[in-house]
Amino acid sequence: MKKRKQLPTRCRRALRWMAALMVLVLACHQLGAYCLTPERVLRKLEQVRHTGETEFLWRDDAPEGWDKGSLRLSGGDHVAILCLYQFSWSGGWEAGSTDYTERRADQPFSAAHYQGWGRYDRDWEKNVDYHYVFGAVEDPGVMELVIFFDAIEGGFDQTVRLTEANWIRNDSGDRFFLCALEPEVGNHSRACSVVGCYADGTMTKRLQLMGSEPRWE
Amino acid sequence: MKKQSIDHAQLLVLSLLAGEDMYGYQIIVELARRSDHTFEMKEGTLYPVLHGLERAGAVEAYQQEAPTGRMRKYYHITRKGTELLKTEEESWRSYSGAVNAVLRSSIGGLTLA
Amino acid sequence: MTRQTYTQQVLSCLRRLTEAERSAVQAELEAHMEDHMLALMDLGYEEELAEERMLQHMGDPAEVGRELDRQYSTFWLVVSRAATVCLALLAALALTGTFNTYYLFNSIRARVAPWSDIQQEWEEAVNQQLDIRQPVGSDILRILGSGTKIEEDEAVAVVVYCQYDQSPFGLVSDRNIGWLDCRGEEAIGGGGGHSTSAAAYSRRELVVQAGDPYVTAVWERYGERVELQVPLEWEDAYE
Repeated sequence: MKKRKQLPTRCRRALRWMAALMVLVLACHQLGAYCLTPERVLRKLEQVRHTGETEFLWRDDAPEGWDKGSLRLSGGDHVAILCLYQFSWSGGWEAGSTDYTERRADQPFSAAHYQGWGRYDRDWEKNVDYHYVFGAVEDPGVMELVIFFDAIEGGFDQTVRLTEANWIRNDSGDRFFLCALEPEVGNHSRACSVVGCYADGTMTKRLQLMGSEPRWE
Repeated sequence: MKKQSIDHAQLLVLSLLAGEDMYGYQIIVELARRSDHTFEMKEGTLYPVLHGLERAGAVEAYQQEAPTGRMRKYYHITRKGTELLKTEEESWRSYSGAVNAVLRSSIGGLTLA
Repeated sequence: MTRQTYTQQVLSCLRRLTEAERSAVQAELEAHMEDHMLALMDLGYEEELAEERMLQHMGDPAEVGRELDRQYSTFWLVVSRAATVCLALLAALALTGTFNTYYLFNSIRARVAPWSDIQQEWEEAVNQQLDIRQPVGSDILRILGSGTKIEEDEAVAVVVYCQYDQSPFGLVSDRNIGWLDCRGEEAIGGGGGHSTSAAAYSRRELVVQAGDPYVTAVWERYGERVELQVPLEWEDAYE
């Protein structure tokens, strides 16, 4: 039988190019080279720290003055992650500033401090910084967390109490938290710590968040 | 009466292709032969008809080597084309039947007169 | 009018067609006209007369051209071109490294030629080349070689290794490998390394006892523990 060469119509050719494009885009997404969704970026973050699977628990737009993006908290059995997810046409969804805090059952809670980029306020002629404290409550007896932000140089002190209303629960009922402190203006040096409170008024040890790693006191 | 979705030229071409795959000149020759030269379209106008049917998905084209060694473009009716042809054939039969019925009744009246 | 003129007049009306499509139409028309002329010449017509007769049957070239042009929708052409441009753009982004092809290169190099990314002094510190691979989490721990030496009466084991993700497109996880001596006690030492997001190379110098047959790499994370023995070779005097 003589060889036949099919002659595709414009429609067929267009659909073939579209299919090739879709395959390439999906391959890039699956391989993590060009993430089409923040979820894929999260999978990469989990992989880098071998954290196991986490899920998105909270999200908000990046604060004013930051690069555009979506600030999201995710949590799982082993870790809580706070990350700024950003999209660009050339790179797809990517992870910006990221912090992890490891969950440990032998600790009353886990926490970490997150500070994204500040912005320069022209009216005040000073830097404005945004600080977050996030983590997970492990001990079921801990009813409250108190966050202390000590402005050592510039800025102002802040104390925030987190209670039942502030917990962010996942499907397993684990308690996560995220505290967005008031923007600090002109703050150059700081300390940040967290203390847990039991129902009978007793307190846990204090977790100092600044420094190379959080440490218990 | 339902509006035809394809014109008469397309209907005739589809009918020919329903029998076998053909190339352009072959369609012209067969059309003239089978209609006893009643239908003899301007040959160049066949190609807009064929390309239109191709765009509608009623036929698809392929190239194959002719006995002379030259590459020929053949047209093949698709499943969609076959269904379209079937629908149009039924419409045409219904239409021509109605016309014939009216003509018969008129001729009968004239004869009586 | 000649065949060529007829064809050109038809083609001049084809505004919506690409060059390739115009060539295809031209070829089809020319083939048709040639078939008709040959049929007439088989009947005894001279070539010129056959052409003239054939052209009479072809119809108005402008009308044929206009009707043909109408059959080609610009929509699918635009879609096709847009998809092609996007595909080319994606390919260009991949090649220029925007898609982390640099990481891919490093990941593949760690698999295929790890020693090519290791400084010479590391290579010289090793007295036996190894190739022991162990999955740790989502990575591969690959022991490249071990060495031994006596420094100021202290026996030191040197281990050169690299880590990379199990997928060539993946990122290497954090590189916390602990070390134990053959008695199960923590082996103290220092070292160095270099890394990208795709592959990490490390050299560890561990204080052991002369003649120890191996040291153990330990990876532990969230309750999952992996141990890997790395054999050591000593000079005969220390065996």
